[in-house]
Amino acid sequence: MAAIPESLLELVQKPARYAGGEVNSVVKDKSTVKVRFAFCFPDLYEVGMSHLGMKILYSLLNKDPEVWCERVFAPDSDMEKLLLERGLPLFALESRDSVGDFDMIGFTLQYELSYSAILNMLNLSGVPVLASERHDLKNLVVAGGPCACNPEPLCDFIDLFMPGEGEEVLPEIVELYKKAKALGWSKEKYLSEAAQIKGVYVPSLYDVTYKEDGTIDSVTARDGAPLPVKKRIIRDLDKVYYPEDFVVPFVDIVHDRAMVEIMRGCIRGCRFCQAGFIYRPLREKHADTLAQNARCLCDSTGYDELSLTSLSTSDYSELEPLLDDLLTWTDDEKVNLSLPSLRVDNFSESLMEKVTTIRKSGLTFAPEAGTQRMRDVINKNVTEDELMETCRTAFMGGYTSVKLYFMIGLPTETDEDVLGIIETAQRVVDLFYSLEDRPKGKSVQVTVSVASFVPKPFTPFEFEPQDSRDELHRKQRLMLSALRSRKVNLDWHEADTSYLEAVFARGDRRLGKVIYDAWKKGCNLDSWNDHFRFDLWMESFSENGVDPDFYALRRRDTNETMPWDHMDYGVSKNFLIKEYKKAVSAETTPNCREKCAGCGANGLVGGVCCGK
Amino acid sequence: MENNGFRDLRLFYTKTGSAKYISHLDVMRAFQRAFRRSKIPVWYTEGFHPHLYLTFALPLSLGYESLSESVDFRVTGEISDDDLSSRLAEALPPGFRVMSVAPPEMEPSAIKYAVYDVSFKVPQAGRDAVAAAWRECFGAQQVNVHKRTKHGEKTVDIKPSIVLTDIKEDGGLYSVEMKLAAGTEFNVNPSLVFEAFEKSSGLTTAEHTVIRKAVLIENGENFR
Repeated sequence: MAAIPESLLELVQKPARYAGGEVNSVVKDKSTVKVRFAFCFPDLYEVGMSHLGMKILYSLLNKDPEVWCERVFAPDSDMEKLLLERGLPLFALESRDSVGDFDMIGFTLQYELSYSAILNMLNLSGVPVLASERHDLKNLVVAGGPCACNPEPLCDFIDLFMPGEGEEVLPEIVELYKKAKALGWSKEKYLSEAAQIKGVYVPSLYDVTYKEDGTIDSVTARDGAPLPVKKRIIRDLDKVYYPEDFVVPFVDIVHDRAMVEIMRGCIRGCRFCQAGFIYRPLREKHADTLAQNARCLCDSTGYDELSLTSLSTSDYSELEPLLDDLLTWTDDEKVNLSLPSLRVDNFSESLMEKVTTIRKSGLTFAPEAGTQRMRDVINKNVTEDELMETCRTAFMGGYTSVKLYFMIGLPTETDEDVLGIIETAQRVVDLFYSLEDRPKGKSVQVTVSVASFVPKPFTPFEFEPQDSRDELHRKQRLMLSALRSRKVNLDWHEADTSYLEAVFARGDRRLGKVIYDAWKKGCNLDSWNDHFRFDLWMESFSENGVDPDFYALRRRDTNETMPWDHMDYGVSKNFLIKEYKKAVSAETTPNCREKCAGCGANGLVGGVCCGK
Repeated sequence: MENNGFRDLRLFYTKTGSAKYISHLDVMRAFQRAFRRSKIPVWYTEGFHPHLYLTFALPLSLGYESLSESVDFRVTGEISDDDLSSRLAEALPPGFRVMSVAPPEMEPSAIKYAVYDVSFKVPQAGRDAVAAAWRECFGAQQVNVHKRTKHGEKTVDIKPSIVLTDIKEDGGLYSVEMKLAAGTEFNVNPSLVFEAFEKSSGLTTAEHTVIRKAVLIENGENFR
């Protein structure tokens, strides 16, 4: 008997988000499986269902007839209210059973502002939020994803983390769980055995001590747990599992399309970009494997849009052959190809023609900074000429809207750099009107989206302070005052959310109490404006005697022990320090294909990666 | 094949169970994807953004089930009706079942009525009180409700547009069959009938189930 009566769905907005029954969703007989796994995404259905990692791991786990993996998303406010009023638990979509009935409860950690939602989802499921209050093997709470590179703020809540890539390690910990269940192991026994699997971090097996100044003194491992903990990595993307189908949602989700992952990692080494370091080294998938994946997915889902995803799509070495292959059928079948993450320095005319055979929408580029000096500091190796040339190509090809991503608050930034953002956008507008062959009778629209820089672990800027919120606000006003053209749309991220992101990104175990209390006060789904309660977060910091500025705004010494230093992502700290020093003197580092910079990540794949 | 390169077809299907929680807009998208999965050679609109041509005769409200839904589409290649049906049956999401596929016989504008089986509860009142209130409401000369239209809200008398069977009660569950005006000109949704009853009686209805069981033309024949 499912925990949730169907009639509940009549009382909420967009009930199809909770009803399950989507094409390709997996329903099994629970009496025939050994392990039930609740794959939880700590955000709304529309966001979670857009996430490729969840699709891969859902299909992968369900390939095993002894395992049933189901999906769980954060309920929207109306559903949450109903569940609480009626004393009903949070449920998984496929069976509508309570999440509390599941053996393993897995969370994906995609962004720091989703942490409060994890606590909220556990609590709605009737599962104790604190790991120390969950005594049994059942309801084991595990987590992976990019934020697992610094899992410390979540150590009070999660039993086991999986730093790195999940396709191999996740089935391994599930397999061990089958054994543990059959042999009646205790939770402690399971965790101590699991800690021996490469790519597993069991936080309860590590002790952290602090110095008087609040920085970390030491991290020690108990019970034979490894130190450091090495991330898991997939060596060969052509051989790793890729789903033949995706669950096809009924409601409109954020990224509603077929996706193939053309490569993992990035050759560029932009110094602000965490993904660029934690997914090293670059591994490409072959065009023929991808063509096959794409064909299969479009057939099984009926999607009319196919996205080639990666951190920097135009760096994929077989991009044009892949597009030629795909265009042999996508055109006829009216499948629209989308190429996110294009760079301005290698966006060619022939590439643009291939993308636009089907549909012309806007183009998005990320110069990231407004002056050459600033771009050199962050190692975004593109020039303004390249940006202008790309925009020229796009305008001549019929595009009239361009979106440009920038950041403020970058290390060494001056007002000149900030104003350079607006000047760059203005030059793109001027370029449009200078072109004789511009699209006739149309005006240009340049959207400038400005994020506030958040220093992240495992990047050369992990030592850097974030700009204070006052300073970020001042820089936002400075840009606004410099804005002259109505053809430029300026929008920016809220500094408050970026500040909290900075606190948790480089946080340590002492933040657990803050997260717990903030959630108790009502914090949940902090990345949504209508939920975000900065005042409650600040209250929780102050009541726990924790200074958030210590985490967000403090400059670290390069020999300070970082809360994540016991995690090994393959990139050496010495390399990060070297890059940091080069950044400060605006010295660039060539990309991995031009010249190996010696980051150390090649050790993860047997010594050879893409470098020369 | 007709001279413009396609053949018009009308699919009749049911939408039951959890599928009732899928909104009309989402159903349209789900059918587009189902047609694409089925690999049936269907006609796309021409122009800058070609899209798969689908026309639903009578949208169904969120939360209602139906035994009589229809959608028109166009087939461009040679394919037998049996093959069509079986490929669609395989491609449609759970909760949708193919009834028939045939060339359309009537224009969607010919639709005049839809027939619903409706049941509900009235938590605060007994059987006799509910039956009396129901008869008083719908036995009156006029049944006035607020109807939201494109031009704002207005008061409409739905009495000429509704035919209700007598109300039945079984274990606290009331049931009634409603034949309501439907189609492009004037449309009465079962929720309007509930609104009229709640306004007239001061009672609250709950736990509605609504199943559309037929779509009719003027003379009472089924829409085909």
